[in-house]
Amino acid sequence: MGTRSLLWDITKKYFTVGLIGLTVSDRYASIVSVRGSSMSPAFNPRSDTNDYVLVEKFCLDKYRFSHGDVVVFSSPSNHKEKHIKRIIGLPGDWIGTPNMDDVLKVPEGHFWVEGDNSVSSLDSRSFGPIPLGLIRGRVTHVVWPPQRMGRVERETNQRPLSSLQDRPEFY
Amino acid sequence: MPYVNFNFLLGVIAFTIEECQCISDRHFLFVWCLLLIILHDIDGLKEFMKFVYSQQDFAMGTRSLLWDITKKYFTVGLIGLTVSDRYASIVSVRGSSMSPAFNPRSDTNDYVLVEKFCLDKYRFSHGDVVVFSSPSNHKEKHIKRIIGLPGDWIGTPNMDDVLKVPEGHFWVEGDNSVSSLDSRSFGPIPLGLIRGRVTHVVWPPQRMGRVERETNQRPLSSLQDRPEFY
Repeated sequence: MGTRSLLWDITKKYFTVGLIGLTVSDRYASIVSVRGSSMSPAFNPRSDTNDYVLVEKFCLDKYRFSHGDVVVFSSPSNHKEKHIKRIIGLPGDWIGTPNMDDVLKVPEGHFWVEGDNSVSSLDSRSFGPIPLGLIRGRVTHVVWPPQRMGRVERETNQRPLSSLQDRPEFY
Repeated sequence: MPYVNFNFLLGVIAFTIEECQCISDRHFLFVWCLLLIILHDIDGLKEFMKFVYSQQDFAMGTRSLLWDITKKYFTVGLIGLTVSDRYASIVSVRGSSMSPAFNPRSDTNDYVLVEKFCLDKYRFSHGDVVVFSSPSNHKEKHIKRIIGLPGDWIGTPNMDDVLKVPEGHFWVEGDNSVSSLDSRSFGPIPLGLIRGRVTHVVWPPQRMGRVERETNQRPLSSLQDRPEFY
């Protein structure tokens, strides 16, 4: 009888903790491991360790994204894969890449994302602008390894050709 | 078992109704009041009266009663939200783009059961009705039927050319072509936008039942057959 009530007690605590953890992870914040070197040197500057980052999901309700935010999103070509890239273009921005002769306007409700490490990054230059609905959260902090713990800054070397619906002069 | 009873289940089901999860929605307040009444049932009140009578301490009894109600509330809420996010939820259908399957008359909104197991295993077929975030506005959700799977060729009456549905994307259309904003406007949608698959209508009672996988429209060809170009 004592064992049964002890087991029931442990089970209850287990499920409560699990439920709270799952709900927080789905709706508020979760921890994600970064694979690959497309975001070097911000994440995984050396290929031997995987960084762990904190991903917040409050942004999904209020849509508070800016240039330079690092986001986690489902891949447009394979919904089971998730990628981590930096936002380079917001809806309405004009994007031009060195390889292309033409400029592209980021459509309403879409983002243009690129990895910091252009050489080994599969991003919007391959699969085009991504709809906001694919975004799963925003990376705010690196939580592991301890020597690189800290806030993730909103910096970017690449800027869109023009933002906020300015139209460039065509040559 | 005091935890597993009818009131508990009712509370969990109430939390899976997506309309009632948003704190700013007026439905939220209504459901919360209903839950408060339902969760604390007659037996609990009787226990409370007995406790107060025996203890002669009204404040103590009230505090433990409130704590008890709060615990039940949060347990039901957590279970309901987790089930709603990961397994199944209840969604209200607005608009007439899926007439006559949903909302055949514009005066009532149908409520449908949306299952999310499909998101893991990717078991979609032609004719499945899915809920997805709009590609142009991620806060809006639409309900449409899958007409084309990845690799299918789609042609519409207005267009001269045929379109191949890219890898990892779907072509969706509403049953009621006239008043439906769907892939004919915003193109094929990536799977990552899909939030679940509609399996049953749960309200109103006269239309309760399974949602069938039928479609009048078929893609020009499926499974990577290539049509002969004229």
